Amino acid sequence: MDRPQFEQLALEQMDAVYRMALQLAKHPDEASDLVQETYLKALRSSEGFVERGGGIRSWLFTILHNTFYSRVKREARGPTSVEAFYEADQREPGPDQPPPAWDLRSLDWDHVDERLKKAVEALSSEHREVLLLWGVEGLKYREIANITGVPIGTVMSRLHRARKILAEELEEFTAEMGWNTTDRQAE
Amino acid sequence: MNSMTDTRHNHDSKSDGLPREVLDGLSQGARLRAVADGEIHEQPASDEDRARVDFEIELRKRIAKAMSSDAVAPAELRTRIEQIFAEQREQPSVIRPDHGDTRSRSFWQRHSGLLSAAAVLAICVALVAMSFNRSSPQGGNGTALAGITLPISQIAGFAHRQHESCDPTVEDTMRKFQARSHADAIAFAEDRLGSVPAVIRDHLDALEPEGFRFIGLGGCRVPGTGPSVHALFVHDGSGSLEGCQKVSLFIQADPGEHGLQRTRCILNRCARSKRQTLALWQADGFLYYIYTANEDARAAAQRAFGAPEETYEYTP
Repeated sequence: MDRPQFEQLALEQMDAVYRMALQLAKHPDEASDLVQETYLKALRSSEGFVERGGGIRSWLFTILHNTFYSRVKREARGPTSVEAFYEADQREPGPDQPPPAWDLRSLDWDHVDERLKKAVEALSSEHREVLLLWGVEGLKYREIANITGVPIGTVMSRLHRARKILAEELEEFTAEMGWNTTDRQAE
Repeated sequence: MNSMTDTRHNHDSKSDGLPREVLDGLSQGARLRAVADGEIHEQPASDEDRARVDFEIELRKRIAKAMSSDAVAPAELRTRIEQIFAEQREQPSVIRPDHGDTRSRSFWQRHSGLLSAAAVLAICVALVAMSFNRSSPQGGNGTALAGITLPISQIAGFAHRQHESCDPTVEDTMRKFQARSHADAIAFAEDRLGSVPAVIRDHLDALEPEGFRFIGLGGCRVPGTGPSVHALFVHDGSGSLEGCQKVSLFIQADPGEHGLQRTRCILNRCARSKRQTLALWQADGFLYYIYTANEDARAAAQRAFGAPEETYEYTP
């Protein structure tokens, strides 16, 4: 890939990269800082870019992920908390529970979106990142595994955990609102 | 037995992304989610499974809708990166890492043979430094810094990165400094911090006798709970501190929960480079942080910006 082509493709992905940076950093200034560092690193290693599936967007996400977690690791007060951060998934149960069966299409979503957004933002950064790469960016498990540097099974486990939390939040919200969701399992 | 359990080891399932060992070991729930996500191509075995798959498909749609509505890269950021690209085009001497590798090899990978000697040396230096601090007339960390909860090392790392990333000769790296005049700085600080720190209101030109001119004030994110700003002062070639190029002053609104004493200035010598020192103190509801590569410039800035004379060294 020549330099002009790289620049054009990279710039086309800036909104997606910024969106993910904002989700990770949770602050516009820090997100901008992360994106700038990501693009500088990408530019410096653009000749080494090798297509491994997912195109330049996945590659930029990988650099962003590494940049962000390098900062987290560097800025953490002690090594114990960093290790706990990375090893959190080891303690999670495997994805062995089936999804709920109630019909989400019957919900009044105008009232639900904000609640769902807050629930996503409350997830831990590693769960939120995987969920957004999957849900918003539409990436496959394998692509997410490549970006985050974890096995596919861990990606599935994180996704399961995040979806379970969101499903519980939705269930709680519908109960609060007194809405009736049809559970097709019970039909 | 659930119908999907019956198909759990169905080797006729097709997947274009999941390795066979993952596919074979999937639980019922994981398989249904993988079907919903398009990772496995097979039909749900029952109405109940279909309902579960539909739930996951709908949930994914709603997450996409809820989370992708508003965020786009700021125009200022886009312009900055485009200009950096253009600048790099004119200066093609960029660092090129090994092909196929996103990161260049680290210092430690390249100099692994030096590790042991460096570790021994570092331990010796640390022991000497600890011994010095215990006997320092200014007091050691244990007495002067007891009760302080501020993440000083974290802040020093942040200050170092921010300071080093600003090159006064490269305008693109200076775009964060939106307020370039005294009046703009006052308005910017009031907007970001809720009120105007005394240093910005009254002492923005206090470093000029040393040759440092105020260049600009911009937003930043100092680790901790309060909003913060970054002011940069650049040397104009006059004065006695000609060798120092720039001084950074970070100001953060102080929620008053860090246990700092107003009469003391803390010096953290363990930033990224031990030659550089972060000076921090608390005054008029704000936390002030000075960062520069030059010890004389740092001392001058402490005096100019009204830092307490009593100082304590912090060695994490």
